[in-house]
Amino acid sequence: MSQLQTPPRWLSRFFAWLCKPADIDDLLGDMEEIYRDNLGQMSRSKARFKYFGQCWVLVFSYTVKKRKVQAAFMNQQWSIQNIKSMYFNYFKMVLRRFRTRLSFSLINIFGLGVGMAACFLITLFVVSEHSFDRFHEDYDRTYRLTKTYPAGQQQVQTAELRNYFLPIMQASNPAIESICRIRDQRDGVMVLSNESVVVEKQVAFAESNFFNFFSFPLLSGNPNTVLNEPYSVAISESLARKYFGNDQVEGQLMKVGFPQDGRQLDLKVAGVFKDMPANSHIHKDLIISGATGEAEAKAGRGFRAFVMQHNYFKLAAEMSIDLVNQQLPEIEDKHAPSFYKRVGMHLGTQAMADIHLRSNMEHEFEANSSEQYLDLLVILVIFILSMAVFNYTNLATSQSLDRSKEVGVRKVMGSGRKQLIARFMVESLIVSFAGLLLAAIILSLALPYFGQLSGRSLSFSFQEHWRLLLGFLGLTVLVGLLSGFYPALYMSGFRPIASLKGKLSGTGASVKFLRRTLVIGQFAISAGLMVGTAVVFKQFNYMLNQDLGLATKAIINVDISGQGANKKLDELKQSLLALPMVEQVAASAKAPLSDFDLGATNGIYLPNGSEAYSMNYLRVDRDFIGLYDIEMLVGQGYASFEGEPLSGVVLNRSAMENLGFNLENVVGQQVEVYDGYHPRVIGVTEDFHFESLRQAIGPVYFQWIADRPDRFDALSVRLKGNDLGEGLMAVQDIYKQIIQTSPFEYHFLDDRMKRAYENEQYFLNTFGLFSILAIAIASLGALGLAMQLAVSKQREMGVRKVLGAKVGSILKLMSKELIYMVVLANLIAWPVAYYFMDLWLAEFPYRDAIGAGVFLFTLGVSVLVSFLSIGGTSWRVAVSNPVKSLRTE
Amino acid sequence: MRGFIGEFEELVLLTIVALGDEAYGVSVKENIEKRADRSISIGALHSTITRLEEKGFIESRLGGATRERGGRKKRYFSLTLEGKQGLAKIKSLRDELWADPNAQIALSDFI
Repeated sequence: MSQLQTPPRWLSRFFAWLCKPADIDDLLGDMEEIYRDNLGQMSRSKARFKYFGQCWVLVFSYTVKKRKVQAAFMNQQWSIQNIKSMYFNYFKMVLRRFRTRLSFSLINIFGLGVGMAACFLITLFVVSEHSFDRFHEDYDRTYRLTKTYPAGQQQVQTAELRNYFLPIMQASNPAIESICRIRDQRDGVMVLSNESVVVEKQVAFAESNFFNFFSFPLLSGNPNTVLNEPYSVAISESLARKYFGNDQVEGQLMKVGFPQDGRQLDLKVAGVFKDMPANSHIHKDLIISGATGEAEAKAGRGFRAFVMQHNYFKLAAEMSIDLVNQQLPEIEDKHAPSFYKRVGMHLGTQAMADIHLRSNMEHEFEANSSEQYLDLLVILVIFILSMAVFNYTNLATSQSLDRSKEVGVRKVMGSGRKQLIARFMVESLIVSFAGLLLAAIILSLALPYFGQLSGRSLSFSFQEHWRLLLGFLGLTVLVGLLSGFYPALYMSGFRPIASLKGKLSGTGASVKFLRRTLVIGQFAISAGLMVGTAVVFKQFNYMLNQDLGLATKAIINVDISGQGANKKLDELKQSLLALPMVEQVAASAKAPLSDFDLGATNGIYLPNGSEAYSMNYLRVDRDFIGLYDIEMLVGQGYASFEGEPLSGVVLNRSAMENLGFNLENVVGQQVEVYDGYHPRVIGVTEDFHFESLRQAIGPVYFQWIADRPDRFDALSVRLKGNDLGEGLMAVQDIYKQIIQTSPFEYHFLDDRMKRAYENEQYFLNTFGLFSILAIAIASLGALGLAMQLAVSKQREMGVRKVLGAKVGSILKLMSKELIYMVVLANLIAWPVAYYFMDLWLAEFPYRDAIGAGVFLFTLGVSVLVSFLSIGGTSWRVAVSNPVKSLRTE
Repeated sequence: MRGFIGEFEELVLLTIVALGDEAYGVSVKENIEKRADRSISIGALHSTITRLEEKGFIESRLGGATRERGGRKKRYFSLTLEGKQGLAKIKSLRDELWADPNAQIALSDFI
C-alpha cells in the first residue's frame, strides 16, 4: 500500500501524543478509514485538511478527556487519594528515619539551620544597608557637592565645603531644581535648664526648605515655614518626649549652649519631626534654622567657619548630572578662593544614594559602610550555605546501603523512578524546612547580638520584610532541592534485585569522587576563612602594637572645647601640674587619633610663593611635643623656643622632604603659611602617627600659638605612678572646680586607639564568626562520614583486631583518608586566600606580612579539628570488642 | 440523569441496533449521515457514544482490525439491557402520544 494513502504520519503521532495516556487506537483507526474514503472523493490536500480538523475536534472532545482520566485511573498515577497516601507514606518514612538515624538527621538539620540563619541574617543586613536614603522622595535625583584635594600621596574627599557655590550654580543652571544646605554642629549643643546641663550630640543648622527637600515627616509644624525664623528649631519626637514629656511642644523655648565658643541662645521650638529612620545617613535630633546663623553673623558674633556646610541639590526631572559636572570647572575658576588652584582642590558631585555604601569622606555626618564589605559577606554566606548543602549530599549518599532495601522494595511494588526521586526530595525538603525552623529560632536569638557585632541595629518585621520572608521560603525550597538532588538521582537508580540482595550496584567511583570533592571543598573553604581570620587578626594586633612615634600610655585626653573651658586653660594647667600624679600637661587643637583639623587653608609655601604644598597642621602649646615623646631629629621644639608665637614652625620628616629640605639645611629656612605669616623652621621631628594606621603618615607641621587659648580644643594629661584611676579622679576634681559649666569629657589615649580600629574589629568579628561556623559545619560533616564509615567497616575492623591489629593502627586506618583530604584542602585554599588577603592588606599603608605562621596555624587547626571530630568514633571502633562486631551478620 | 435520552442519542442507539454486529465508529457515522441526510463530525459522534456508555446504555469491545484502517482495532458497540429498555420506553411514550386522537387528526396529512 502506497504511502500516499495513509494520513500524515506526524499528525497522527502528534494527536496520539496529545491524547496521552488515553487509548485512542480506535479513534485513529476511524479517522484513517474516513481519510481513505475521502481520498476517493476529493483532493488529497482537502482530505488531509479534513483529517486535521478531525484531530483538532477530537483532542478537545469529551471522549478523549474521559479516556485520559480512565487511563490515569488504571495506571494509578493521577488519583488524588493515591497521591495523598503515597506522600503520607513518604512523610512517615522520613520521620521514622529521623528517629532511627537521629544523629545524622541532627547533623543535617543543624548544618542547614545554621547556614540558613547566617544567610538570612546577612540578607537582612545587606537589604537594610542597600535601603539607605531610599525613603526620600526624589532620592534618585538628589546629589551633594563634594570637594577633593591631594594631601601627601592621597586624595582626600570632603563632604563639607563653602556654602556659596551652590546658589551661584543654581542661578545659572536650569538642571538644578532646588538646593538645601546643612551646617553640621559637630560638637553638639548643651541643653540648659535650671536643674541640668545635657549634651545633645546630633545637631545641625539647616536651610528653611529642609523638611521639603528631604522626606523627614513633621509631626507638628508646617514644613514650609518651620525653619523660616531665626532662633527657631525643629526637634525629634524622642527629644520632645525627653525634654517636654509630650510632642505638643510648639512654641516652647529651649536654652542651648554652644561648646565651641560658649554662646547661649534661646531657641523657639517650631516643629517636631519623626525620629530619622535608621537607614538614613543623617540622624539629627535638633535642626536649628539656618537663619539663626545669619542673624548671629549680622549681630557681629557669627559662628566660626559657618560657611563650611553640606551642600545638597536636586536635579530637575529628566536632567543629567553631567549638566552640573560640566559647570564645575567654571565655578572653580570664577568663584573659588585662590588656594583652591594652588593646592589642587576640585569640586565634585555625588548621588545621595551612593553616600552610605560608596563613599567615606571627611566630615561625613556619620561613618559609612562599604559595598565591598557587603559583597564579602554575601560570598561568605554562600560558602557557609553550600557547605551545609554538601553535608547533606555527602551524608545521604554515604548511607545509601541501608536505603537500598527501601528502594528495592518500592521498585518491586511498581514505583517508578520519578516517584522515587520525589520520595527522596520530600526527605531533603523536610530536612531543609526543619533547618528553616531552627534558623528562625537562631535568628530571633541572634539578631540583637549581630547588631553589636556589626555595629548596626537590625530588626525584622513582617510588614516591612514580607518579601524577604517569601524569598527565605523560596530559598529553603531551593536548598532542599539542591541538597536532595544528587542523592535522589543516585539512589533512585539502584537496581531492585541487587539492592534487595543487600549488594550495592553503585558504590561506584563516581560517588566516592563526588564525596571526596565535596569534603575537600568544605575544608578548603574553612581553611581559606581561617587564613583570612588569622591575617585580619594579625593586622589588627599589628596596628594596636605598632610604635606610633608618640607616647600613648597613661595619657588622658580631656575635651576642653565646651563652654569656653579653654579660656581658663592657664589656670587649669597650673592646677593640674600641682597634682603629684600628673607628670605633664599640654594643649593642642585636636587630640591624637582624631581627624586633623583641616581649616579653610592648609597650604604651606616656599617663600618666593612659587610652590605650594597642602599639608595638615596642628596648633600646639609649648609642652605638646615633649609630652608625647615625639623625637626631634634636628633643631628644637617649642619648650625652650624664645621667638614670638607664629614665628617658628616645626615640621615632621615628611614635611621637610616634601619642601625639598634636608636635615642639614632645614633649620632657619623661611616658609610662608596661611594669612601671610612667614615663620622660620626651628626643628624637625621624626614622622609619627597622629591619625590611625589606616592613614599613611603625611607631611605635618606644628604651629605654636600661645596667645589664643580658645583655639585649643584638647588637653593632654600625662599621668605618672601606677594608679591611673586615682590620677583620673584627681584630674576630674580639678576640672570640675575650675570649669563648672561644661561636663568633664575624657578618654584614655590607648582606649581610643583600640576604638580607632573599630572597622577592623568588625571585620575580624565577622570573619571569625564565619570561619567558626564554616569549620563547625565542615567538621560536623566529617563526623557524620566517620560515623557512617564506622558502621560499614565494623566487621573489617573486627577481623583486623582478631588478627592482631593494634588500636593505634586501626585509628590510623580510620582517620587516614580524612586527614589526607584536609591537608589537600589546605593546599588548595592557601594560594587563593593569600591572593585575596594580600589585596585586602594592600589598602593599609602599614601592614604586617602574612607570613608562613598563618598557614601552619590553619593547617594545624584544621587537622586537629577534623581529627577531634572523627576521633571519638574511630576510637570507639578501635577499642570495641571484635566479638560483638563479628557476631552481627 | 440516567434514563433521559436525547434525540441524537436516540438516533445513535437505534443505528447501533440496526447495524447489529457491524456497529463501530465509521459505520455508525456513515449510516446516520446516509439515512438522516446530515453531516456529523466524528468528534460529536464519539462524544455522544462516550456519554451513552457512561450512562450504561451501550457497551463496547475491541476487535476487527483491517488494512484500510492502518491495522488499527475497531471499537464495536452494542446495546445493553438498559439501552434496550430505554429505547423501548421512548418508543412507548411516542406511540402513546401518536395514538392520541388529537395528534392523529393534526398529523394525519403528514404521515
